[in-house]
Amino acid sequence: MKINFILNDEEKTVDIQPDTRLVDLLRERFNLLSVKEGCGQGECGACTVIIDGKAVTSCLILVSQIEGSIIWTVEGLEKSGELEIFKKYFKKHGAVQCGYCTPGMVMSARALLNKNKHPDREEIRKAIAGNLCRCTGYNNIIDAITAIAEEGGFGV
Amino acid sequence: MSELKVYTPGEVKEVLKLLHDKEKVRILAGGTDLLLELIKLKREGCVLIDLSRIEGLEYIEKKDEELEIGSLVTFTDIHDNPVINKYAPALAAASGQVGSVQIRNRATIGGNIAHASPAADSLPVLLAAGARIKVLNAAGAETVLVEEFLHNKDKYRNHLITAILIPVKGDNMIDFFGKVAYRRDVATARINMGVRTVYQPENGKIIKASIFLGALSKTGVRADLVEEYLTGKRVDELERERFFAALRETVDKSIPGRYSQPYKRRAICGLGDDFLQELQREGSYE
Amino acid sequence: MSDLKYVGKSIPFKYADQKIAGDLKYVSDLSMPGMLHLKLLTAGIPRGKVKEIDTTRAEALDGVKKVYTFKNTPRRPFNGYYWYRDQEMIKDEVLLTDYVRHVGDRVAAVAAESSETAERACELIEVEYEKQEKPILDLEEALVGGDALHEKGNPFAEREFAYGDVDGLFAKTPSELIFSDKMETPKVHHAAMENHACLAYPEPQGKLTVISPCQLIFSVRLIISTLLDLPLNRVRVIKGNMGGSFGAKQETFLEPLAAFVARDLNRPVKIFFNRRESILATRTRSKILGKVKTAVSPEGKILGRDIDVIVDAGGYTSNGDIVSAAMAKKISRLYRIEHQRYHSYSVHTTTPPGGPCRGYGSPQIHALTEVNLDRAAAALGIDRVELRLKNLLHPHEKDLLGGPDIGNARIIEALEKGREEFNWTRKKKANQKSGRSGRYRRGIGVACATHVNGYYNVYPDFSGINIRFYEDGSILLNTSIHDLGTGARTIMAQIAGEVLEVDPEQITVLEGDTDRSPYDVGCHASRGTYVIGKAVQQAAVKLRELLLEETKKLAKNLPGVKPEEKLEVVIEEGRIRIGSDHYSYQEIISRIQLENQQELNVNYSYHSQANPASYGAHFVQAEVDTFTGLVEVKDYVAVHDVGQAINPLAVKTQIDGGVQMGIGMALMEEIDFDQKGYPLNTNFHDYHLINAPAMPEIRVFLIEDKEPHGPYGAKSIGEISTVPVAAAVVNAVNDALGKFLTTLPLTPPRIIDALY
Repeated sequence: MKINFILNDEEKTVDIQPDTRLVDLLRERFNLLSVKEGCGQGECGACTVIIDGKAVTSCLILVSQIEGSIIWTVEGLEKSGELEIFKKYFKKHGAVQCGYCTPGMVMSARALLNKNKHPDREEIRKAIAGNLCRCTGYNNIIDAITAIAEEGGFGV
Repeated sequence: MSELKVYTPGEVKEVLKLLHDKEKVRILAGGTDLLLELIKLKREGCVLIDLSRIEGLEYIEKKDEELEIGSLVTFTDIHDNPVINKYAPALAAASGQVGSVQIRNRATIGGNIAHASPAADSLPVLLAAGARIKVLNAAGAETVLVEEFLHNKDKYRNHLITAILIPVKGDNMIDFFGKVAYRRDVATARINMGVRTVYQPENGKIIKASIFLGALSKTGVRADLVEEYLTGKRVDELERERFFAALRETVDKSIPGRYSQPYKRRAICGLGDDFLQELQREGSYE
Repeated sequence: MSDLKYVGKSIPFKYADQKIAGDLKYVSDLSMPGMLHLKLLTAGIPRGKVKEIDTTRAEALDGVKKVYTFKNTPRRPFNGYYWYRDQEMIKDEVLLTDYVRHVGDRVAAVAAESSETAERACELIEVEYEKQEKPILDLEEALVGGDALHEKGNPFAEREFAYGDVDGLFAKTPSELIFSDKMETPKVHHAAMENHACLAYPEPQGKLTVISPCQLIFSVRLIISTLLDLPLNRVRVIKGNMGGSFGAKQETFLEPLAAFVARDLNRPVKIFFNRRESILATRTRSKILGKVKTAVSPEGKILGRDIDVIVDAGGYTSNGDIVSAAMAKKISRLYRIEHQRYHSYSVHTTTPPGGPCRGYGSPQIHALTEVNLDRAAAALGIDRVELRLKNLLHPHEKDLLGGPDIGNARIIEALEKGREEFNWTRKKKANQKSGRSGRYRRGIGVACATHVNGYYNVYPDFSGINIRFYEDGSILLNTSIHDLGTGARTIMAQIAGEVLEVDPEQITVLEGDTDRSPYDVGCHASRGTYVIGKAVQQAAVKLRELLLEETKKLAKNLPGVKPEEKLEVVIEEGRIRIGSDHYSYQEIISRIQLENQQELNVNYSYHSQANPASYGAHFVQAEVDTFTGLVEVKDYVAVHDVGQAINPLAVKTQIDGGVQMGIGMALMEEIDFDQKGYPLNTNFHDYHLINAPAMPEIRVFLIEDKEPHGPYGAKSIGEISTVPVAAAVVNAVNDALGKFLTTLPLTPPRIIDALY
């Protein structure tokens, strides 16, 4: 099946089995290795990407469902320069340990800031409730996202 | 090895034709439930009808005394929608407690009803509100109560849910949704409860109570004992312990002897307590 | 002590940018041309002897290269914990089994061109069992039931550690001063976010390379070489980038299988588990069933203690019994107890094997003893903090069981600091006022804990370091450190940088590679900072000396240096002063290379000099919903005696992460089985971790009073951070409820069950 979509600000067309999962398309076809798989059931959030402005788990999406979608991964944020502020504050606040959950966290945080420019800590906790982390205990991640929100620059 | 066949129709009528023509057919809406079984679906050689290219099923409208919600509206959109928050607040609340942000961004209300997981959070509130759904198949359209749909799932197997119709909450009503899970956020309900009560504005007397409990059976359990207890009473006449006893008895009757019974018959009182507080806030009359 | 320039600073972790950007390739991200995917068929039944395996349908599948079973793989038994040559241990595991001992047991494996094909082929393997045998699940039954999974029977090991006169003491102590508890701790999944993975590939000359996200490359090499009959120099193991471990990747059982298949097929082979496999087919935190009896004087002096433990090793021996010894060795390092006995049996059950897991038995044994202390405090009417303060060890006090010196033990300060910061007394009064009524009940809890700093005096505990200056003044620090995601490389760079007065940014820290890095025992037992860090410090000191020595040689020939100044060579603020002239490292080192023709390169081997105790005191305020049984942690104070924080933010993060894991153990994490032995939770949908909304803010305080043998006075934090957590949380819940619940985790049904 031919699928057209915009991936990290580039138009893409792929010819692919429609029952391929989005996480596999991104990792295998586009080598976007920021998209991690930790559970395959939408429970850990490591495979979180942004589709049409919203955070989603790419392990529970088939490629047939993404026709015409606008998809962002961390690689796209890197290219657009948006990742810089995440790097700055995730590092500063010790939000990165093993790093396996980090890209997914970044995408959930980015999607939150689309919707809510000034989230409080409780709202941040809710926004990343679907992103599991075993290393940090989350608080440093929440510190980082709070700092990013304070510095601003995202959102409509 | 049989591959999973995926169709991506752009029109509802194509969906209906596929539903009619194909064997082992499953409808893919948001996919957050269905794709958990992806491997199984593949092995069974299922046919998927992916609704992502269907337009016109993502609306939220208030029509007189009913809210109409397109079946492909996501839980995020329901939760955030001001009209739903006003006219079906329990549905908005329940929608905010479905899974994680990522899941709510994909999961649709139509999918939730069609999949009809016993613990689905939308169902108790839809049942309590007496919601109906519009279903279509090749033979035509039908509007059916959610309750009836859940009890006759086989009959509606090859139907497409296009819309959900919810009687709006009137000024003299109190809606409630509560959920108990083993983790506060992102966890499957161990028990959940949807309530709609109608009271007399003059004296605060409850004239009708509709209460459904989820995660007890396949279809949602009507808490008729509790409804009976509430009906005809003012909020200040309610006796907590008797109210709780009715809740417990409902659970006991639904899952006698099941290992989860001792827990659920207690946990339901937590929801009952939350509900009473809501009643006192909203429906208390001097 | 503020003259430290890099130590004690919260320097961001190396490679953090790459991790954030998704540029860092984890082992699960790796692929190679011609790489095959190896998928395991796990048993799916708890127990049974394989009668026949029919692989023909799997083999016929397009894309399948080969199917493996016990019939065509080495039969030599091993123990995944085999760690140094000639280590004595029970070896009862094989690569692929013909007798299933737990649901995750490895029955077959398929090598195929794609992982999907391999997975599909696994489903086509038909396994017939002679009969499905009775599972072994209950630990007390296992002890006496006469049923066994292995030759040695059940229990397969017994241990006793004792000092003083326990029987005499208990005989003369009135029963009202003896406090008993029985505690069950859960089988916990490590839940590293990256599932288990490894990659093996053949190289020329019959050599085999394995990339593994492990904690001990040299042990992985040893097991592979032993199982495949290869000399050590034909096996190369490289520590790959890892998405967390927590002990889960400290044992070797996947690498030898991947290595065998890579050799057999002469192709690269990768294993990448899914979550179900990581839960069922790797290792778990050992479940224990413990009994404790403590004699306490009316004034609150702990007189003696008698502990009896059954350790659930699961389906294979692994290190089940070693965990038991580790637990024993904690009991005499926290409180002054003159008579004590620890006895244990280890049993096999038809469940996933226990193994190393952050704290290595400590969270379990502390759960038993710290919850028990609260019972004594309540009965004697003594404040729980006071009771602990009366008995805690002072710095350098003797470990009465005969363990290594506890060192500069600062647990008393930690507990006092915590009491103050937590507002213990005020919170206690507030609770007393509100009483134990109403739906939501609040309670407070405290627990103290101790843990190790390496293996000194028990096992080999040494570390080789190679450190060299490049001619521009930057540094290569070649270690066998395994960065588990904790920032170990950054910590090492901070230590070396401090010694050499070089910015850690200018120091490349290599992780382990058996062909290229010096030997090290591995990154476990909380030895990373304390032992390897010290090795790095010492090696850096040697390099500094070498730099000065060579500079002195050079100085003789430097133009413009007055003869009387020529030997006055010192390092000042990262520059070299010769007499009154300052030079950059770059200038000097380049000239050393050119003129002295000498590389500034030090090889150094350090073995640890002590094994002091690390300590933590945690305070918890919990609120219990007595209707639903849900517990919310409202306030959390963690105080740790760390000697010196090399990187305070890293320490804080370790503590927060440790608390996340510990609350999970206390409240929700348990791999659970039905009566027939089938698992009830095999994904994060059913196996809940503490997620962000369930995680409290942690108020961390550090006691920094230097430990003599630690690098810059530092001692361990990674494991100790999770040790007191479960005990403290349970104590808070028990305080709220006025109960002594001791079956962990305290799930909502268990709490409700206890209340009604």
